[in-house]
Amino acid sequence: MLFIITGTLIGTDIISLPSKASENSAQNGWISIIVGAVLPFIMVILIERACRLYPDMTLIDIVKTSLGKVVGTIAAVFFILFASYITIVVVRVFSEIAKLYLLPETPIPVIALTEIIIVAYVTIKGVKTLARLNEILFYLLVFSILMILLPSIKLFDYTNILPVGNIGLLPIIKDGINTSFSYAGVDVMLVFYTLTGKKDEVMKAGIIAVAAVMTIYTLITAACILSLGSEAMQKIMFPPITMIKGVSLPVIERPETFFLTFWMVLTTKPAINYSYCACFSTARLLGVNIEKNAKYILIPYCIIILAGASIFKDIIQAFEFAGIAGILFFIVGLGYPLLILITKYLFKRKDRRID
Amino acid sequence: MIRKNILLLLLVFILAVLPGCWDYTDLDKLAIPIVWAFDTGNNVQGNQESGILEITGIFPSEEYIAGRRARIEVRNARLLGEALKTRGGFDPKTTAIGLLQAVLYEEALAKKGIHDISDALHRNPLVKTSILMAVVDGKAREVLEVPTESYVNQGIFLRNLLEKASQEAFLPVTTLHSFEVNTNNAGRNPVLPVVSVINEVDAAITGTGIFAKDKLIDIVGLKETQSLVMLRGIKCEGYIPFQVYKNGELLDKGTLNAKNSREVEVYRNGSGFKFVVKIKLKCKLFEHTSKSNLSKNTELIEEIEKSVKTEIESNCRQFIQKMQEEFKVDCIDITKYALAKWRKELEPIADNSFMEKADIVVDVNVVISGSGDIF
Amino acid sequence: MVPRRKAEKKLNTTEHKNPDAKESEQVKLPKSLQDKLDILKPYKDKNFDMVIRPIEIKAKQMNRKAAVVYIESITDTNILHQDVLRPLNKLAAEDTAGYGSIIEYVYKNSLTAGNIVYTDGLSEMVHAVFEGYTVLMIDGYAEILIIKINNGHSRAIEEPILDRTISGPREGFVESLAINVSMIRHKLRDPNLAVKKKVLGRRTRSNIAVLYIEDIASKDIVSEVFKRLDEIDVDGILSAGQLAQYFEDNPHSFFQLYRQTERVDIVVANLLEGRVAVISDQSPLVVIYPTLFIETLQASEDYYQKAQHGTFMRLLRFLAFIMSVSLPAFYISLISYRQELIPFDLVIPLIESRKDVPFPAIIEVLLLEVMVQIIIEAGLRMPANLGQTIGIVAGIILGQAIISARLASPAAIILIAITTISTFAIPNICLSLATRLIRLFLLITSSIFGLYGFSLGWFLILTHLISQESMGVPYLSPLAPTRYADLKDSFFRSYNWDFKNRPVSIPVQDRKRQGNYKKEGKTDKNR
Repeated sequence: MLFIITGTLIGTDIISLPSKASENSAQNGWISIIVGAVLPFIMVILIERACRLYPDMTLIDIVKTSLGKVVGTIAAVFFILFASYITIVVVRVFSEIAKLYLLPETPIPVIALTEIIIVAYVTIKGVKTLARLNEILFYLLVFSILMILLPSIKLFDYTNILPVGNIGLLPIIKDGINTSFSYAGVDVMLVFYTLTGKKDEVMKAGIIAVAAVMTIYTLITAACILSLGSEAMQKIMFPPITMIKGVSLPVIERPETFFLTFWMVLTTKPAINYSYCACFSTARLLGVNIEKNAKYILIPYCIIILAGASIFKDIIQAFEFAGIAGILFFIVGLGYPLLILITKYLFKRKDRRID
Repeated sequence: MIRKNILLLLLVFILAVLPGCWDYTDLDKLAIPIVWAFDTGNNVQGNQESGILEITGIFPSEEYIAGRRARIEVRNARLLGEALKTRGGFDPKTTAIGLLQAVLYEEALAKKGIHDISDALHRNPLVKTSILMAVVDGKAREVLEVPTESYVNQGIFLRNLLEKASQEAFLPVTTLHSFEVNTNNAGRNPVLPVVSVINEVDAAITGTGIFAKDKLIDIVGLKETQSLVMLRGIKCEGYIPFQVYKNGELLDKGTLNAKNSREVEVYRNGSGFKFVVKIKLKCKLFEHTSKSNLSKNTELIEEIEKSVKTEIESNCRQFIQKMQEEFKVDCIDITKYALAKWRKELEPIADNSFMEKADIVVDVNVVISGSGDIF
Repeated sequence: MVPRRKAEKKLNTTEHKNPDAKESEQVKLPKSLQDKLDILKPYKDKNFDMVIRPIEIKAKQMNRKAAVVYIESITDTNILHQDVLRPLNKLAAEDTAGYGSIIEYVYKNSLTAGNIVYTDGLSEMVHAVFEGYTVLMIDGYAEILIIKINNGHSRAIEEPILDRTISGPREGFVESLAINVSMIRHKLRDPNLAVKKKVLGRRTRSNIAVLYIEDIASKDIVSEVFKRLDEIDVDGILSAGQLAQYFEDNPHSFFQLYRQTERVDIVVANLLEGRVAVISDQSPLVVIYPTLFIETLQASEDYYQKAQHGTFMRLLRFLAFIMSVSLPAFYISLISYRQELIPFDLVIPLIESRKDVPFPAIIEVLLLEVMVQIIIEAGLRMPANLGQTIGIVAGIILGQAIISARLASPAAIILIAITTISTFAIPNICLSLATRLIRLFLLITSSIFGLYGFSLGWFLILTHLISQESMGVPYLSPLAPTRYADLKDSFFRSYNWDFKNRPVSIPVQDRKRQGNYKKEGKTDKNR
């Protein structure tokens, strides 16, 4: 469980994170990331409370029962659309990065198609494979992060990150809000809660996951600031990659390409998790069994994702849409659990009145 | 089952036919420029015109062309992209920029600012930012045309030279990464090594170019380069000759093998800033002419240390004076320490005449930690 | 003539009844001797080595005609003559009072052979003759006696061909079930060892033995194995490998989800860990369930040497596996897509070596790969004398000629050679065959998409491996569901005394397998 959350969180925005984090707070960008983690923590707690009330029902069922048929169905459809939207955005950003650094000539829909094939394959295999995959990829993730950080120590210059706190609290908080969008991914907990075996450890897992992600983000941002300087970083689209381009190791001459090949695999994780959520929820919504009819749900889903990913014109537009995704994540992550909790209390009160 | 297998076979067939669809370029179909040299170019009439660049690329080739195992191409264009464009109709091979290793700039060109050129390189995702940069005293193309015996071609020689410079002598090494970092952040300026052609048969690093952001201001020679490198804190390993005089007599002369490092402290009183640059030299005695046994004559070591210290300190002070009076930019990279403490306040003024008003004190500490096998 | 029936296990508690009989479908034998012989007549006409020896049993009170039927080539004629025919001939003077029938007297008192059952089913009689048993039929009784004294030839016990080791036992299984089971019993004398027999294959009627240790192995796995065996309904089972394919977990996968071995010590070690072994008659390979992917890279050599050497060898094998699968694909993706990744000093020599080759790199690599595989196949079929010639012709001359004719670059040839050798460093034969296919797959993905395709291909393979389950046990544990406790036996081998518990990945009833043992050496410091 822990690995699923971690996996979903990292991968969407880590590449462009340092520039966003330092927009206002300059060299204190790394602090804003820690600040930004507060919100996801709250979300984890809320979601866990909410799901605990209905331990064996999936999100769709919960929403339908607590909000009534009509509103519940609308909320369920919205969630599915949201999950699909995030998948589209992730696939698109991923294709952009791949096209930029690895395959300049290949058209975007083709790259997106390959990623969708992976996503579909994993989704077909079921939730057990998903969990194990996330676990193994987590270790790969740690390895990749180390691979980025360790060689760039040569480029560090500690004066870039000083002084601490000179900027003032407001810019840090402003950036913190921006960065908390990058923690999008906690809401997969809503769906995976029912599928886990050990329900009492979910809270712990969620908090550890957010903490781990926060640490990783902070490390990377700090590394970028240290080696590039916060002003230079504003101009650069993907600071971690540019940072590691500057190092020349003895055998692996271009560590960034090496790193990117691992990275590609890792960034598909959020897409996989979200698409599994969407497909699973669609299956529940329509009342069919996911195992048997996986093919029928999956193929139209893939086509939708492919179409969506090809719509964007260029990377800047993709980033804009990613920003919208962040706000949506906010709404979903806070909205759904709150709704569930509130309706539960209302019902409780209603029951009490009846008594 | 049968249908599934047929589909699979079809898929495999399609995939097998596809290779080479988009990105596939074989290694031997590439033209690989190793080093690029930028000069002020000639316009169509053959006269020098300042907006035009002359871009020379050195491409390794298997056969000997004009006595060297490389092909040198010269183009005139406004910017780098245009030069690449004209290659298309000329050479069937694709240009692989990704393997670029070093870039050279002509002095006159550098004085106008090299930002336009380095932008292309920095923006391209395939170019590695650890490529080396240097300024050439004279025409950059001539450096590429110098013959070389021990390396495959001049490009490789230059790359190795520029890369290893600071490990053999007190010379700076600049990569595109540090260039960009220094150009874009407040209060910093890059320095580039200067390469010249010597006697038409050799190319060597002969000095350093002082830059204000991306414009070259001046070129200094080897002696001042040594002080610059020590003050700037570029970690080098090199040889320092010394002569020890006592009571007007030459006591000893020899060479030290030294590694330098520095620490900077910054103090402030009001709006005045005082920088203390502490240079530390860790040395090993390489050779000396005095026959005395150092284990019995420890004073000699102190004398050597003292004489080296005085000499370097005076060199550095001279250089600092020159920097503050002539160059007026921070080429020894100490403003960042002040910014580290008072960034918000100093950021706007860091590049404007900040260095001239600062008070910079140099303190050199020489430590001889070994003397080889013999005392 | 022989009625069809499914091989169904049914426990029969009466001692003398044939345990494989099915109650309902039995056709009873006629009482008269002549009728019984008539049933056997068509078989006698078809088989020249079937012997029907008529005898007369003359005891004091009874006097009957009888016949002994056996097939000469698969019966142990020594025991037949000594322990069956001779006692029957000596019956004349004996007193058969007190026994209900002469057949009961013969069974209980007279015959000195060991394993005798008596039955009255027609199909059992026919099957028994063809299994090599001797059938004693007496006139007037429907029951017959089946004396199990079959014999056959068998290979001598020798070192196994596939799994060799330097410092371990050299016993490999042979083609006889009895000898194989005896080898295991010599090593594993636990009374809890269960050896259950099943008969599979309608025409081959092979004996299949299922072994497990009753208080260690998980009951679910055992019952699952039996369930799957019951579902098999085929003409013949020729080897354990064929058997295993019938009850594989996922026949579509390239990877083997069971373990096939020829070595006795491996089987015993696995039984001790709570797994189930299936031995098939007439096949020297034993199939073990459940298994993990890690085990395909392990050899028993690792356990007989010191831990450090074992670790080194394992890591080496793992490296060989990765190299053999990904080296050509990696080469292609570097040469044709990401030339910047090649160390710069290698670029120019590589260009020079590829200078005049007419094919693109991918075609060159594919060509060489196919050629090498054909050479390997040819080498397998050649008798030993010609094998050397093939080696020289193919390896040296062809290789040199190709380079001189500029049909391939030396770099590619070196690559393919290294890859092929690494393939053979893998202990498990199925994995080494699987690497061929995976290599091809990765080659294709990386030839379309370069380095990205390489990681894509690996990702798909990883996902595929992760989703496999061998009898409910995740195939890629202890890596995928990371069981830290099991990691000490995966890529490196921890010391022998660290293996306190059985592997966590396999469900068992009893975890502990070792008592406490001091870590340090046995030297007593106080002495």
